[in-house]
Amino acid sequence: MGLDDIQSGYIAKIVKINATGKLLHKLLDMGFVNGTHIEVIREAPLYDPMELKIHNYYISLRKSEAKLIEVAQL
Amino acid sequence: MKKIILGAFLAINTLFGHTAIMSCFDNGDDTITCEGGFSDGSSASGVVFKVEQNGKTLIEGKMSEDSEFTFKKPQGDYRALFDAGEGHTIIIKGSEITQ
Amino acid sequence: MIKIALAGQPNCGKSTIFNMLSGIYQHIANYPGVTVDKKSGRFSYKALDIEMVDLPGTYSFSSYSLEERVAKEFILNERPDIIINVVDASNLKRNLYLTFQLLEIGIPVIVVLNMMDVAKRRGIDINTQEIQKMLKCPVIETSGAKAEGKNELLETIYALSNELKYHEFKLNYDILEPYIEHLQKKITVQNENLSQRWLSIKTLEEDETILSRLSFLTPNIKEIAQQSKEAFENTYNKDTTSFFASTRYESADIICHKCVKENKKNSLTVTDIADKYILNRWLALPILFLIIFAIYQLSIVLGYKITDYTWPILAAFKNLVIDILPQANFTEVPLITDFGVWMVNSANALLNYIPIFLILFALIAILEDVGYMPRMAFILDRVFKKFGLHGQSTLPLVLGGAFVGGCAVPGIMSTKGIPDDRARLATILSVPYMNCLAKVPFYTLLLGAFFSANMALMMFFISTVTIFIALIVAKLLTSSVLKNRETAPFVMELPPYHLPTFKGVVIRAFERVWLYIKKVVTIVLAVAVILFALLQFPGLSSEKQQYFEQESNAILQDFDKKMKDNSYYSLIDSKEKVASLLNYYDEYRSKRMLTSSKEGAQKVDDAFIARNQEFFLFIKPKTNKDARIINKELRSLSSQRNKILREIKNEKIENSLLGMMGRSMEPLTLYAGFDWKINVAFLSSFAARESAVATLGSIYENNKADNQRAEEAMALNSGYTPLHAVAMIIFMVLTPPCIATMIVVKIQTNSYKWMLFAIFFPITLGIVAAISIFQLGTTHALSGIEAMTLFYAAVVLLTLIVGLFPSKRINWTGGIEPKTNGLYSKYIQSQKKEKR
Repeated sequence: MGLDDIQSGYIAKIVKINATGKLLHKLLDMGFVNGTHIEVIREAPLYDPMELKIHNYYISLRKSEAKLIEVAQL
Repeated sequence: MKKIILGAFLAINTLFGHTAIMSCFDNGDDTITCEGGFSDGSSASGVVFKVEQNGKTLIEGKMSEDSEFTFKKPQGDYRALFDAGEGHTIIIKGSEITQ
Repeated sequence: MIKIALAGQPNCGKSTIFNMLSGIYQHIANYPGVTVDKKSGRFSYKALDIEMVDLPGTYSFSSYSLEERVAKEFILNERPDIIINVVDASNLKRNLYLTFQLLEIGIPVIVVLNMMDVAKRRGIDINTQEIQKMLKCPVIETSGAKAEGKNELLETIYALSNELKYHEFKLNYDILEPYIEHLQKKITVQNENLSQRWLSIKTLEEDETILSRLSFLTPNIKEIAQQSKEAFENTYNKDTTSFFASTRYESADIICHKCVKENKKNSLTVTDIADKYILNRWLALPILFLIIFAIYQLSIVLGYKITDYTWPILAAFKNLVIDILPQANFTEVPLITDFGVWMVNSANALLNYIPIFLILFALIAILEDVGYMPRMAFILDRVFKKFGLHGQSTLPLVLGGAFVGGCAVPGIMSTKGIPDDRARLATILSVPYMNCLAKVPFYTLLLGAFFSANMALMMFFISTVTIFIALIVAKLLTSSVLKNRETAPFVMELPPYHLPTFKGVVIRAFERVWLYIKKVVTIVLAVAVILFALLQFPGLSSEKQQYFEQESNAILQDFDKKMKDNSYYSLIDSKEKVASLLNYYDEYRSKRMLTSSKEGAQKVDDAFIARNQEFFLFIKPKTNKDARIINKELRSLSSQRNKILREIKNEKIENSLLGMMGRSMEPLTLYAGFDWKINVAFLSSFAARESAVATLGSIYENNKADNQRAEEAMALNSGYTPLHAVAMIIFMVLTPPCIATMIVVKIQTNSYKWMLFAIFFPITLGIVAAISIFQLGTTHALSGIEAMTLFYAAVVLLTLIVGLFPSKRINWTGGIEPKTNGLYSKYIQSQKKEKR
């Protein structure tokens, strides 16, 4: 499933990243590598983007971007 | 409630723009002349001018074409008011007006 | 003399460290050819002279963003002796990702673990010694906000500079190693200073900056790199980019595992608790609006109070200038005096804003430092994205004037941080539509004249319609002219909240105000000079001149007649003497205007007595009968003279070049209800919006009866209706702010083309809108307030339509692409690659 499908409060593990180009580099730089654990903190008041916790810091990602990150819910 | 919000917009916006100034002279012949103006050079002519004593308005009028107002000096304590509305109100106490 | 580069990820407190070391002696320039700030400072420690450059904050050292490219080129071109890597101690793992890349370069690195106080508070225990051992480089603990660790850092720099002992740092890339070594042999480099291995790694990463440099000596380096990359990918079925990243993060993990202990792992931090409210679904937007409202309330109300004190300074300056300039000879005012007064008035009007901007910018800097800006972007991104903007467009739009007035100049300058090229350009071109503070006196004049009953409502319309217009324009631009620009992903960190430093806020506020002074004031004054010429020349016709001369002489003769029997007649028996007395009188009054205390007044009096005792008697005649007669006639004379001066001024404007321009535009503008006088006012205000009021005011000053306010005069004498006023207001809302804004647009976009677009597009939009509303209003006999409501409703409706229209565009691949190249087909392709 895509990261955008994970509900707030749950933790997921990255299985595969389907992004390319600039987005891929950005995600890699920020620590979105295979096997990393991500906790979904909340959605924005207007339902997009979403706030995630990864490697002990917080980051925001648009749902359309999160969709490209394949995860397994834990 | 609506009035308060709208009023707030107005107040903030129009408060700004220019600073009001006024100074008064005692002419020595029992009359006082007060001259008003604004920092951006706008004329103060037509602006409401009042002389108050003990909370009552003794004299009320408007600044002349030359942005000034001359009135007879009242007995005792009084205040000269330059009232350009929306927060531009300048008050000068009679005791501060010198020759 | 050594050169140090300061590198680090965003939000690691790099600036605080920079400020801590370099003090206030910073210099901000541009990296050549780009609009990225280059901050450098100089300082000494013991016998060592140090030049320190603050590189832009970057998460990584690839070449995918402008900041990264700039940082890398700096390192390659200027070869710093030491790199100081500022690291956020409470966020070690992600920060180490950059650290590894810096260590690989081949230049000695000092790692600064900053924000130690925050880490301690969170129960994060770091074994600094162990990290130092594992990375083989000095690691210093600091707390920039508390200025702790400064001495240790300076000592380390000093020690390192004396004995530049560098241990080559090698991260083991495991299965990728053979490929790295293979490439290393193929690369020929000019300079041995940089690590060959680093160059090889960068090549394998297909780093543009490195590849173009290497291609000079190894022309086919790009092909070689591609071959190696493909070889690896085919053999191991892994993508090199991802592999590099994974390895670095795994290594960072190892270090963290060994050297970092988290004692309070699952307890909530202050940030967590705060965000529960600030980002709460229902509270977020109200809190946002409240904060913006509070900022403006404070800065304008407080700032206004301060102008009460700063204005006398400006006025004193004005008086000084008048003193220096040649005196007027009754109604003949020398051109240079006219010019001088005009310039001083223009300058003072602008400088009077400074207290307000100072407070506004300080408050915004506090908001930035606290860390609220990313939250704002997070909350508003969805809305902004719909219109082609970016969550980070918030700050520029707020600076440009969200609820109340702002200034487009600092707003546009602050678009630097927006990573998305298309959104950045759209933001630059929509900020000018926000509420320009200088336009407010213009609105006040018109509202006072035509809408005194509904002032608050009208002001509300005006203040809020701008953001809708900005959004619509942004959408329009991004769907058409900007369609093919680069876009960037919205991957944004939400840093923890922290208390702003006083020094940081003050520096930032002053920086922005100084920018305002440098850019706005200088440009506006330059244009004011041109405007003066346009308003003065060709001047009065000879017959008009004669007319005014006759009028003046008549008044003087009248005065003379009345004074003939006065005992003081000899002192005022010639035109020159009378003129001199009149000037003396004017001067006295303006000086007295500035003093409010008895002592001050006495001082002014003494000065004037010393200058001319007799003249002073005429001003303060007390009981002297003859002097009192002179006093009375003098005041009347002054009043009549001023009247003539006003008439002359009006006549000049009518005849002037600007007046002619205004008249020539009339055929078109009359459709919007603008006659030549309004055209002139708008034209003259192009330099600075404040001038619109002065010009418009003075044109009508002349024609009014005694005791009428400017607003009343306009309302009754001009022949305008509220509908005209609405058209004027709409035009003013849509036209670009001053020339200074246009210049800043050119600077930020690096192109004259956009600057011209930013000038002509809004003007066209403005005139079309004004004409439409005016015509509509006239044919349907709408009242002023109805017309304005119509306009407002139309704008809001348009915004909602655009906003709610579903967009089929995927934002990070940029623009609307043909289906064969869309995201889905790319996904399919990558799937195919996987199966191989």
